[in-house]
Parts: sequence; structure tokens; C-alpha cells
Amino acid sequence: MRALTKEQHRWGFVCGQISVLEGKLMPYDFFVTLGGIEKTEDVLHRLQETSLREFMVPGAESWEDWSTIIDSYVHSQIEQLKRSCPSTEITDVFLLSEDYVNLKRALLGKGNIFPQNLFNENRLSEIASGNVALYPEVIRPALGVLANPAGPHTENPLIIDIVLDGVYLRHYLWLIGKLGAPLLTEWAQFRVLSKLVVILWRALRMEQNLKLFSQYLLPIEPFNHIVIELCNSNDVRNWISVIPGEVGDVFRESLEFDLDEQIPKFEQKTSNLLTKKVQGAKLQTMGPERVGAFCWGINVEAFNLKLIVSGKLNGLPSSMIRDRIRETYV
Amino acid sequence: MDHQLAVEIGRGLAIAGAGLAVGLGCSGSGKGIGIASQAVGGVLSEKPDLFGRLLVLLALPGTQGFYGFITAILIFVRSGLIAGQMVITPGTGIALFVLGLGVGLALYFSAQWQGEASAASISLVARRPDAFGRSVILPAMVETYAVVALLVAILAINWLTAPNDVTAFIRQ
Repeated sequence: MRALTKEQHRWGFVCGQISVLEGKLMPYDFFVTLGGIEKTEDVLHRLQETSLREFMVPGAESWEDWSTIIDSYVHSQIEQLKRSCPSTEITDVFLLSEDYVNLKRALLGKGNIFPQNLFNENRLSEIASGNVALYPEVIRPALGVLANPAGPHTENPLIIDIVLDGVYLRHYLWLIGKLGAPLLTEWAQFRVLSKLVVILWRALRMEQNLKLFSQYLLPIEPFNHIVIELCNSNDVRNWISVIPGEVGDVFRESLEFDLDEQIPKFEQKTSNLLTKKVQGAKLQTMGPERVGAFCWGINVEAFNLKLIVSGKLNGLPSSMIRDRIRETYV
Repeated sequence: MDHQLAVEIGRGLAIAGAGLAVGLGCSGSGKGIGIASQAVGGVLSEKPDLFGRLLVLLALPGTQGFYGFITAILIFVRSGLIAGQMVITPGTGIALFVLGLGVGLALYFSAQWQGEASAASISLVARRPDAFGRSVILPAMVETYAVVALLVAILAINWLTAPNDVTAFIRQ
């Protein structure tokens, strides 16, 4: 056990719950077996033997149905832990993506699709009416751009996505920073940097103007200079010298794959590294690190489930699905 | 120094030592059980059927409080507070005070660490209920040192307050 944070004993209850819930997580071998099953019906039948069972609804056949089932499973697990945590930042981090999907929909005048977490109904309706006063200081200035009815996003809707991506990552690092857990801070910075690389890489592939990203994605401390340098180069081979540390190593390795495989391989390898980084927390009896590690484990599990279900529903070959399965927490 | 005053000082120091032994021991046990009970609560919210096994692990850090209690009772008896008219010199009083402090500290810290070890074992049982037997050994290892402290306390109290000088044979 490593004493990484103060007052770890306050996390005893939730970590006790996690000790039990970890036993219900699906291991890597299960996903490999599941990915190798040829008939879609057999895959869905096998899923009834997992923790997903209580979230399944009769007649679920389409991708949308299964995506909702898996999202409900993840949300329920994290929400359950949130109620037991002495402070909620660590679980909020893993529910944050849902909040930002709701926020984007509110900006576009659409209803929520995820249960509300940090941004309740009032806040979502406020941003739609141009008021961002109640949002956290760390994201308020950027949201102010979107809340302005005459803002630049009215002419270029891509700016909404860029601003929200930047705000989301900033908010993510801010929440993690509040925990004061060095392992989680280091882990989150790795994740944010890899996300930034993926965002810019995809934008480059889609021939979007990277200058917009340096203008609306930032500031994301401590990666501002990296993003600016990446945005200044339209050749990904030049990015090798810009992206630091392990993320840079993974990026270099990913460039050796076929063009279509590069970004998915980068995402898979960074996910595997993130999982490896938090696996040490499994040995910790108590602390926010253990909660964060478990929540990441659920996220990876959800990704693998979605990968297999969507792959089977779309008739992808088993070898391709198996190749993309990410390493699991247990 | 007046003989009566010297006896009172000696007895007072001895009783203060007893207070430290029981106070620190019970505080440590309370904290240790508190640490373990957090983990037990979380596990029971998911697996209530594990209560019987977890109760054993939860109770283990509680023994230090009893060791402190035994040490205090021995000092009370041997210093004449409970029975008899035992004469405690200031020197013996100081020795019993330091003994009580030392034993109390050993009990306080070992109970806390045992609470941590119990919490780890509780996590182990939550994941693998069949590993209960092995899981009890882990916090029991911490118990060893609380028992050593208690044994030293019993022996030292007996030697220090023996009616006859037990070290006399060495000088013969």
C-alpha cells in the first residue's frame, strides 16, 4: 500500500465496495473469447451472464439500444460509488463526458440524453440563454464565447466542438488537481495529452484548419506550447519531436501502422498504458487512487463491450475485433 | 524527603503510567477498529453474507485496548491502589510511568497499523472469501508485537514491585 494522499481512511467505505465490485469486472480473456464468437445472438446471450444483465431490456437489438444499456451500466456503477465517496471529484471526472454531451445539446437547443451530474437542468438552460455565471471559473471564459449569440461559432459550428473539447479537458485536469493525488494527476495529464494528440490528428486527417484549434482549444496547462507547436505543423512526422515522454513514444510506434490503423492503434496503446499506470492502485487498500483506477477499469470495460457489440452488429471479422480489444483493469 | 510524600509521588507516577497505558491502548484500538470498520461497511453494502468473517478481522485491533487495561490493572494492584499497602518508591514510580508510556505507545501504534492490515485483509476476503484463513494471519502478525509489549509490561511490573529484591541473587 502506498500512502499517496492524506486522510486515506475516509475512503475506506467506498474502497470496501470496490473490493467487491472488482470481482464483477470482466477480464481481458472474457472479451477475447466474446470477440471470437461468430454469431451475434450468442454474443448477446453471453452478455446476460455479466453485470450488464440487470440493465438489459427485452428486445434490445440495435446499436443504439446496446449503447444505451452499456452507458446506463457505467453511469450506474460510478453514480453508486459517488454516493459513497467522501469527495466527489474523482467520480465527477468519469461522469464529465456525459455532462459535456448534455451541454453541447443544450447549446444546440436539444434535450439531455444522459442523466445530469455537475450541470443540472438550470445550468444547462442558463447556457442556452447566454448566461454562464454559475459555471466554474476555470471554464467560464470559454463557455462565455459559446453563450454569446453573436459568437464565432454561429458562422463555423466546428468551433463549438473545439471549445467544448478544450473546456472539457481543462475541467478534467482541474477536478483531478483538487484531489491532490500525485498518481492521479500524472495519470490525468497523460490522458489529456493523448486526447489532445488524437483531437489534432483527427482534425489534420479531416483537413480542418489547425489554427482554429490553437485559438479555441487552449489554454490547457501545461500543454499549451505543445498544442501550438503541433498546430503549426501539418506533417505528423514532425510531431514526433514535439510530443514528449511516453505519449511521444506511443505516437512514434503508431506511425508504423497503416494509415487507417494509426489513430485507433494510438488510442489503444495509450489506453493500455493508462490501465497499466493505474493497476498499481489496485494494491492500495484505501484512497481516491483506488476509486479512480476502478472507474477507469469500468470505462475500459464499456469500450470493449461497445467494440464487440458494434463489431458483431456490423458484421466485422472476429480477428479485427479481437485486435482492437483494450487491456482491462482486472 | 518525607517518607509519606515519597510514597505518594511514587504511587502517583505509577498510576499516571497506568493511565497512559490504558489511554493510549484504547485510543489506538478505537482508531484501528474505525479504520477497519470503514472497509467492512463498504464490503457489507455489497456482500452482507460476509459479516461473520469480517467481524473477526474487525475485532482484531481491539485487543490492544485490553492489553492496556491489563497493564493498568497490574500497576493498580502492585502499587497498592486496589489492594494492600505496597510501598512504591519515587524511583519505581518513574520506572512504572515510563513503562506505561512505552507500552501505551506500542499499543497505540500497533492497533492503528493492525487496523490498516485488517482493512487490507477485508479487501482480500471481499474479493476471495475462500482466502479468509490466510487473511487473518496478516493482521495477527501485527498483534505479535502488542503481545510482546504486554509480556514485557507484566514481567517488568512484577520485578519492579516485588516485595523482595529479585536482583539480590545476582549480587550474592
